[in-house]
Amino acid sequence: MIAVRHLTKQYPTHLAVDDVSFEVGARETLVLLGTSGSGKTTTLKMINRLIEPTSGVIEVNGIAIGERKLHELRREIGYVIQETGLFPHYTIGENIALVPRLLQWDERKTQDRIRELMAMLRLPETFVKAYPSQLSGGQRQRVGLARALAAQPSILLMDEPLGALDPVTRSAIRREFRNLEEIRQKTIVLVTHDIREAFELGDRVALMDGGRIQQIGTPRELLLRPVNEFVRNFFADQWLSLQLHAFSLQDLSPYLPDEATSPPEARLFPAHTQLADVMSELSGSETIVFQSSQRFITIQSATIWPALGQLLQHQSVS
Amino acid sequence: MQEFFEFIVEHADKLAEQTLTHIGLTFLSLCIALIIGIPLGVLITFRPRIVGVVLGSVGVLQTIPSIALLGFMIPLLGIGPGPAIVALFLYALLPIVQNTYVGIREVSPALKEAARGMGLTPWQVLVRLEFPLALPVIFAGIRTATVINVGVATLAAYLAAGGLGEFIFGGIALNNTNMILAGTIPSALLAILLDAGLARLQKLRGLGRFRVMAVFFLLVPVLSSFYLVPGAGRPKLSAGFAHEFYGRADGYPALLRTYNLHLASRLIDQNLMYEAVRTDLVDIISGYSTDGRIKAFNLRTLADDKHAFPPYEAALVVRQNTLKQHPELQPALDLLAGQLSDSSMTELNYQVDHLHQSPAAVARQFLTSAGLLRKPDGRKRQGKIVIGAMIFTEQYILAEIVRQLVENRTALEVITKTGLGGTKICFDALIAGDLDLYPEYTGTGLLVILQPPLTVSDTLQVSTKAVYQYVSREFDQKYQLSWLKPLGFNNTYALMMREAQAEQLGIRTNSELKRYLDR
Repeated sequence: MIAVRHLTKQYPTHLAVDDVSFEVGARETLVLLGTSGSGKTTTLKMINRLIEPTSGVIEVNGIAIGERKLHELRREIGYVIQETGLFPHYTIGENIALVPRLLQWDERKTQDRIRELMAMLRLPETFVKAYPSQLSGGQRQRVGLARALAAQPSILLMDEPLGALDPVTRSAIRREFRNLEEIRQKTIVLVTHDIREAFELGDRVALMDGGRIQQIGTPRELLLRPVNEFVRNFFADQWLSLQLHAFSLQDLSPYLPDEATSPPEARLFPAHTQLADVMSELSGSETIVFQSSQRFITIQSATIWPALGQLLQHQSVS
Repeated sequence: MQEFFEFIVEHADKLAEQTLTHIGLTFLSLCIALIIGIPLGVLITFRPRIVGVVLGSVGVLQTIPSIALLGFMIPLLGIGPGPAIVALFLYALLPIVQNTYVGIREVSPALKEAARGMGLTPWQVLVRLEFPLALPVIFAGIRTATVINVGVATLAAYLAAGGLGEFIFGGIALNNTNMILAGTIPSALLAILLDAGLARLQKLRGLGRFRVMAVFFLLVPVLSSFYLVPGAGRPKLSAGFAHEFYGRADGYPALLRTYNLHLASRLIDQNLMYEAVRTDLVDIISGYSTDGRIKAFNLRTLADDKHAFPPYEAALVVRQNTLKQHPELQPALDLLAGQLSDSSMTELNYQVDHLHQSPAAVARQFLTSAGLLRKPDGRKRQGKIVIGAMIFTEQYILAEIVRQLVENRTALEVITKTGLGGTKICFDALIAGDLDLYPEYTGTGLLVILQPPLTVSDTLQVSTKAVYQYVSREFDQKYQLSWLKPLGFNNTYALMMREAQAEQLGIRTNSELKRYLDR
């Protein structure tokens, strides 16, 4: 879907992006992770040509973006930014309808799409005529997403989409986003400085520093097989809790006892559920169950950690 | 206070006309400033390099004192509504250009980037995002420009463009407080009302604001057209009167009384009046019969066949105290008696007004050719006297003639105070002892200072001699001022037209003008 090759951006005072290459496959989410000044936002903005690269090539759907008409390219790519960038003088409905109207959609179709998106993102229908200033930060963020999704782009670029929100709202919205079918269908490049967010949302993560990609891979690869000291140190602080994002119930199954039938009182979880989500769902000594290759496996918060310990030991040996 | 309201009631028609003209001038110039200023403000947001140059130049325009800006218009563009509107437009430009630029610049860069990132073209970003969000700031600029223009538009009267300034300039010339107030209060009220109205508009929130602002933009051209309203019913000939002529009992009121001659008039600075008739801005003016420009501009003086205007024999009015203190003064001044005929005074005026010679040089030439100067004897200067002169060419020349003659014939040092606003000001200064003498005209002394009952003045006016005798007796008794012997010429008010037009319409006298207008 997106191919970036040898991308460089030289400013008069500094080198912002230094020979960056990566590819993002269809329906994949790539997170550009890094501290401020690492070049992640500059890289993102070069994809929809808000910034022109000094050298290098970017292809979207196999065509170099320099050969596309600027506004046509941008209308095919959803763009979500921090503080949402909603037009304060447009109603919520008008904000969402912005790109469809630029594309001169039929008005009926536009209205249907607004209603569909608002229902999907759990925004009350009465908000259609409200102005952005009348909404909470979380609600505005959902509108920002709705606007980016409105014209059904296959690609979404997200620049710190949740940066302006408090941590509680952030993780709630994050979970919501992840579970939306429409978003899962998109090819996404997301920029964040939040390591948890990167691990939670990214299929792959590119850790950037000083304009270069230090390592690109799945969260598990970055966590367990860092290529250099920088990568290791970057995750050191949160190493323990990040494991909960890097592994799913499935991964633990070899280290847990299994039973032939499901215990009748226990809740059933899908096997691909991240451990972090399991932890936040579990209360006290509750037992839950998941199914892995015809076996039912029970688990409690007390049994997660020993199993995870064995898993890690096994990983480091292999 | 009561006099003020009487004045308002008496001049209600004129006041309404001036107010409409004033609103028209304000909004017409504002309209042009909007049409040019807003696009200019937008343009410089796209061209950061010329921001400094553009804002700097419109800023410099703003620093020019408004009266000077209007003054510059006369040599550049002449007089009339055109130059006045250009000057007002230049004045309104800065707040509009600057606020448009600042308003657009202040739209959050994140919003602009979001808009571009979603695929809006630069034009769409401007129209859908930047302009609407900048509108409150732009509006603040429009409000400032409007209030400035209401104020500066009072000066438009100086360029013969009409408006409430007519009464203000007239009132100053005539030292008539009620007249000044009649121009000042409406223009101040207009400024306050517009400011308050636009402030309310600015404070509106939400969608309503955009609707009302759209209405305002539509309203500007409508208000601009007010300028044309007073002209709609314009009669065959239009007149331009000097402020003094319009307000003085022996001026326009006398014309009304004697001929019942109603003219649609505009009040014009007396120095610009001749230019106004020459350039067809008006058809009739209230000139002075010895003005040099009559000759220069080929104007026809209409004969005052029913003696509406009293005779205006020029003579020097002197404080009797001064004459006693300096006995050598009167013999010197008496040398001038009868030395200046109508035509020789017109010639002197022509030399100054048109050939641009200095009053001092013209005065010296005159005194030399009349043989009035003696060889300088190099005496040491002792004592001094002050000569006043009103603000028109003839008075400057007369003051110079008197100064040079007195300094030649006596040991007195002579100081001239020229450019005084009018008879009232000179007379008051003379009474107060700030002046010792000034050239005055008998008719003015009669009607402006003495103001006798109509029956008295009407009988006197038929005879030039009778007026002179009456004023010199009354001034002597009432004010201890002496009228010296007349200088010889009679500088009376006269209606004047362009020679060609007067010839074509067959108008030679005021009565013929009246007949033509009634036809």
